[in-house]
Amino acid sequence: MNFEQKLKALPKEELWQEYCGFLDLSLEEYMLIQRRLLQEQMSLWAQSGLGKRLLKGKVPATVEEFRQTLPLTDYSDYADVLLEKRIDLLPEEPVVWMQTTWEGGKHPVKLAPYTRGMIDTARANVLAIMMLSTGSHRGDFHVTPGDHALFGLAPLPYVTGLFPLLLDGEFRMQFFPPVEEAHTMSFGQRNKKGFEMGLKRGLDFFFGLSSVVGYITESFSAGKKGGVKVGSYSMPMLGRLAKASYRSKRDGVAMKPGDVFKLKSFVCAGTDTRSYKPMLEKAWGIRPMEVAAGTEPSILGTETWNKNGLVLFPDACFYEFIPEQEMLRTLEDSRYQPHTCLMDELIVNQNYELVITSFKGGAFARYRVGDMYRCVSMGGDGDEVRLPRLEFIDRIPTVIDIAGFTRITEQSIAEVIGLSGLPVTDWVAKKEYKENGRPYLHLYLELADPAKQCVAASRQLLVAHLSAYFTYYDADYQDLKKLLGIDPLEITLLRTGTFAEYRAHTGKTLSRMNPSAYDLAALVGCQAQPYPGEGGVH
Amino acid sequence: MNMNVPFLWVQLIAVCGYILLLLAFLAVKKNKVIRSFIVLLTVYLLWTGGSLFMRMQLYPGYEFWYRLSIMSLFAITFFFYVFMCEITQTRGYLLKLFWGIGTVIIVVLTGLDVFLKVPVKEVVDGHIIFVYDMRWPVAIPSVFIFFELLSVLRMFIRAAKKNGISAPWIMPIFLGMAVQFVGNIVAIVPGNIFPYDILSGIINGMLLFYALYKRRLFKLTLLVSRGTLFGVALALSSVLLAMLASSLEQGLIRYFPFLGGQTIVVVAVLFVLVTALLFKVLQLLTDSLFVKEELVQAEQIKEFTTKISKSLSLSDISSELVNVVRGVLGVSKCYICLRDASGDYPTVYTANPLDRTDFRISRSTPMVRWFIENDGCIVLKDFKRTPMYKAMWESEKRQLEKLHIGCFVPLKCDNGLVGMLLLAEKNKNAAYTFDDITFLEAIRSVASIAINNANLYEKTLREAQTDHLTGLYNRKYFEEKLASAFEACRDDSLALVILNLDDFKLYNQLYGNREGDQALKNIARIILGCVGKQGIAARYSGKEFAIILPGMDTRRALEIAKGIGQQVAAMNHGADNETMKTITLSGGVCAYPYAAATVKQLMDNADMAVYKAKHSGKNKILVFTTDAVSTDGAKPDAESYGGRYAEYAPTIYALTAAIDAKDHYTFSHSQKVAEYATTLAAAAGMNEDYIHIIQESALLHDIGKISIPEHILSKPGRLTDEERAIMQTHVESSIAIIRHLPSLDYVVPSVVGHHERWDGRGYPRGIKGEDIPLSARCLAVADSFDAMTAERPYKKALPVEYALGEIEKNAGTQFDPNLATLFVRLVRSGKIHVGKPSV
Repeated sequence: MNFEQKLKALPKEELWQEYCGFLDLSLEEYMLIQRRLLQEQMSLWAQSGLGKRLLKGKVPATVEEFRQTLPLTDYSDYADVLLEKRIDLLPEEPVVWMQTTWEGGKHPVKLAPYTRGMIDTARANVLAIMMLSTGSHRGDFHVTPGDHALFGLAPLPYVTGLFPLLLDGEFRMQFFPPVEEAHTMSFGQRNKKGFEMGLKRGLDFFFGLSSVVGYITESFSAGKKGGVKVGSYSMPMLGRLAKASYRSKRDGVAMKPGDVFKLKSFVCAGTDTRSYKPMLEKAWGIRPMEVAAGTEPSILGTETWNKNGLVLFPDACFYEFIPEQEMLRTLEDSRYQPHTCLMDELIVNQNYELVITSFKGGAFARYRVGDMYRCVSMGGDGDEVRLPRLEFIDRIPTVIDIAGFTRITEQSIAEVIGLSGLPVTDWVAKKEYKENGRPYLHLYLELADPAKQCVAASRQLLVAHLSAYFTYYDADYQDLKKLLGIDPLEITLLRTGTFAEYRAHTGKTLSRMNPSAYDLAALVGCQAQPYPGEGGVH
Repeated sequence: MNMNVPFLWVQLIAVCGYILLLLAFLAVKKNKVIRSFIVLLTVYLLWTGGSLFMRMQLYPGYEFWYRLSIMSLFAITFFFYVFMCEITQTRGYLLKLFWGIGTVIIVVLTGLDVFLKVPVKEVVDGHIIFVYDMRWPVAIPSVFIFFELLSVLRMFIRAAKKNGISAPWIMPIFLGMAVQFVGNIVAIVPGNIFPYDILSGIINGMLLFYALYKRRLFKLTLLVSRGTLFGVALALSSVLLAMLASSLEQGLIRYFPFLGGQTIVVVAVLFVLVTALLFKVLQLLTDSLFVKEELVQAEQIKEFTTKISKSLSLSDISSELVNVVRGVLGVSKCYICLRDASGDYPTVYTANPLDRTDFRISRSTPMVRWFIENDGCIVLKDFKRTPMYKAMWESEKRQLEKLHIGCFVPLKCDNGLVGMLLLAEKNKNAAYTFDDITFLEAIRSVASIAINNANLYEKTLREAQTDHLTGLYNRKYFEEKLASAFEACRDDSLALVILNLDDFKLYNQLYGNREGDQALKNIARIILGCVGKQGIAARYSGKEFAIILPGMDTRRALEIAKGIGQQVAAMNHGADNETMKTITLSGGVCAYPYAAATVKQLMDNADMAVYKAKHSGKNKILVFTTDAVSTDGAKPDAESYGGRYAEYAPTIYALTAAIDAKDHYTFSHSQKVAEYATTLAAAAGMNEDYIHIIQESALLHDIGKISIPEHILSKPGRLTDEERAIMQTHVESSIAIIRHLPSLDYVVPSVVGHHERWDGRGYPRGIKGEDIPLSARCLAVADSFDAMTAERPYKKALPVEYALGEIEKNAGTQFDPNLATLFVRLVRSGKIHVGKPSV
């Protein structure tokens, strides 16, 4: 029986129980599921060529032994097997491979295998997301076959592209544009076409990358709706448009999407969702429900009807968390093996780096995803859900992700600076946020002695120059400009000798990627110190 | 009474239908929903019955029945509201109170004819019709009812939202409401005389009944009781009587005038007969529809209970359980999984012996946890909807899918899960119904206790009958079995084989008890494999096995015994340690009636054959015959021990020559110790074989000194602590050398123990008293005596008398007191010649 048949045949309560029942679990029951599925995965993984190699022949028998035996891994531990699709070395044969950017410019892609079991789990979890996103309390959901959906998430082979495929055969949902048409379109075209269709025929579901939804929302409010051809609009939409247009003119305010669309479900994902949420809620009249997904971990978690934090699915992966301090220590000493906590050992208001072990024959074990989460609650705090809730903070400090598009690392910035030929002697990069909450990449540059350089180096020129090279070097950066129309680069030119002064003053070298605000302020403050060569005439 | 009422049958059907339902529900277990439905049915009955009796103008008059009917009609909506509150679990006390008070007022005012006057009776075309005077006040109860209906509708919509419009009980209620509403509207269309309102009431009642059934609020078969049937029969015959009584009476008077005033009695008798007849017909009808199935089930449960209560056999109980479940539910496959010592649930019984039994349910499976925390059977598709299903492994899911499992029945006893009954999907993919689950619940409570008891009984029995190490039967059970087998084979033959392991104590000493136990297990496995179902094998004593072979003669028994012997001999071949000692068997075979007439003779003779095998060189199987014990073709007696010694002599010579080359003193010392010790052993009454062992042990007891550096061996002065420690390792070194010569391993106990002391303060193991092998005790005395009386580079020879004095002094502390005394006596008597070795 597929979901649609169940919808007809079963009471709502039973359907809710089947898909969203995990929200009724106690933490103890949740951990029991986690540990049991890890036992299954351990036996599969340890017997595979990949597992044997990483475990160095050891066969852990218990969860604790597994955590002690296997050091934390990153993609480089798997690259030779996965990028060459060495199925013979995997725990189970994959049915599909997902793809994402590994490291902007340097490593074009990383691949992740998905087994049948993983796909089945992801399907059930996507249906849970769909149900939860339409409800306002426990047991409440409103899904009707034939609902209209605008899909603004990345298509296959990115993991979010699984959404429509997983629903296919389970539940009739009219995607705008239809999935088969969307294959031939670019991401930007799809969003544009989909939104136009939604405007004409109405929307029930909106799944989107927060930054993209933000862009669409702003474009809509800015009046980029084009001419209205009455014949192509459905009557209810025409009525709503007319009403919204009248109100907009009457009150002298821009029309908001919420005036036209009455969404049942509004689902957002991606880096910086936090910063887009308030604007989106205001514009659409419905608070977006955040979900977490990733190429390696699959469909990971969802917010509930309360939209107050992510609950991670108990059957998607085995979760471990590196406390922030431990994570920072690994940045200083790459050989250091940090201590990890399990879901039932989290502490509220602490930040953690996520570590996952795939279930059901997946490839990754004790894998550092590179995402930072904050534990906002351990559950049972008046919320009906008794499980820990998390908030996605950002990528780990060594990676700068702007609006869910880029993976800028120290190495990629160094490459870009090198390519640009600019006489940059030292730099630091930090992801910062504008007043409206929008993220941008802030480069603090120090150029060679001004007296010795013979290149034009105004701030605007540097921005344009480096931006051009970022666009050339990193395709994702290019997408950011193309799809969202934003250039996220800001530059602050530091006086020559500032870095040296900082080192002399503090006795330490500043981390190049995302140094703390305190350290950065100290660096900028060093400009006030007299420059050794100041006063001289060259 | 007027029977000339249009569409009287509709009302009669309605009244009978309501009576039937009412009586049925009065018999079932009641809850709030059922109670509210009973009240609603009663109001329906009052309305329909009142209307019928009004039209029939029964006593006390149509006005009375009219008022009863109209009051009930106006009250129906409220009771429907109450029923809806219960079935949708809506609280709304205030609203209920409001509608309740409103209804009471409306009903009272209706009774007082405030809204509607009593209809006027008119005759049209020979039919009596009732003409209502519709005035505006009737709008008041109509509007009230309309809003009441809206309130019901609101409640319905909320329930549909909460439970989904697809919930199986929602739609019948909705349809019932719609039908009732339409029926009442059509009924008041001017010119209509068909009682659509009554008809729609019947349909509504039936749909509500269906909704309750779908909510699983009662068991259908329980509705059909004898009381219900009698009530229905009575109601039907009453209706018939009401319709036919006057015609019948007139007919009787006309055709049977002689009855005179007795016609009433005849009518009454006929009425009783018709009632009885109807009752019987209804009973037959319902029996074939509902009760028969229930009776069959009840009969099968009863039969099952009776059978299993008489049995303590797990196999029989399992078989009965599977049969009854398959018979009643029509499932093709059943699997019984019972908890084992590890806590897992392996399959122990299947419906068909060809079905898979190689799967087990792990104790960590979420299903097990679910059953421990919950009571009752669960259908797989329902279990899939629980969050704990997420903890199922993919392999477990695939397994259940492969076996087409549809339902799990826990077998619980004393709150513990003793096992599970796994049922495949029903034939033709039919779903497990409420009745199926009820049946399974009934059967499992009985089966759980029976299976648990049988399991415990069989476990205890098994423990009492078997040897825990090898899993073979123990001696006690073997003796019982032998007696019974002997009785059973009175007119046939019966062979007995006894197999005794050769030098098993030595094997334990060489490789440790753990290895020894493993060897015993392996031998038991070999015996079981060779004997199979042809006989009964037991561990007769520590290193002795016995095999009863019913129906076999000597030759076949000998073949089996030889087969076992060969496999045991080959057992350690190919193992990692190639030099491991080969275990051999000495066996005896005796068969009834050829060489024994009684069980005792059989045992004694087989034992005697074993004894002879042992004393004729071991490693052979001998058959007992009445004239003598014959060999199976193994080496003759003459070759036994003496033959073996001759075989080993060159090895011993080679070893002693090696030590001689390194340290001549040790060589001559060993020879002297051998001479002293063998004389002592002979004087102590030890048998010839044992004396040989002591002699060889003495020759080899210091062989480990080969590993001691020469400067320590021939050091002129006292040894330092470190040197002494090195020197003491010679014992272990001796063992290390000898254990690689499996043919000489029997000397190990003496060699290991010759530095042990009677008081336990010796080395290397610190054992004391008689725990020290006798041969080692002999060696100890001889060794010490020679050490004292021999000259060494660092000391002169001590006088013999002094040495004897030392031995006497240390008898009971260092030496075995008896052997020490005997040794001193032998020296003093000159039977032991002190000096250079004579060999």
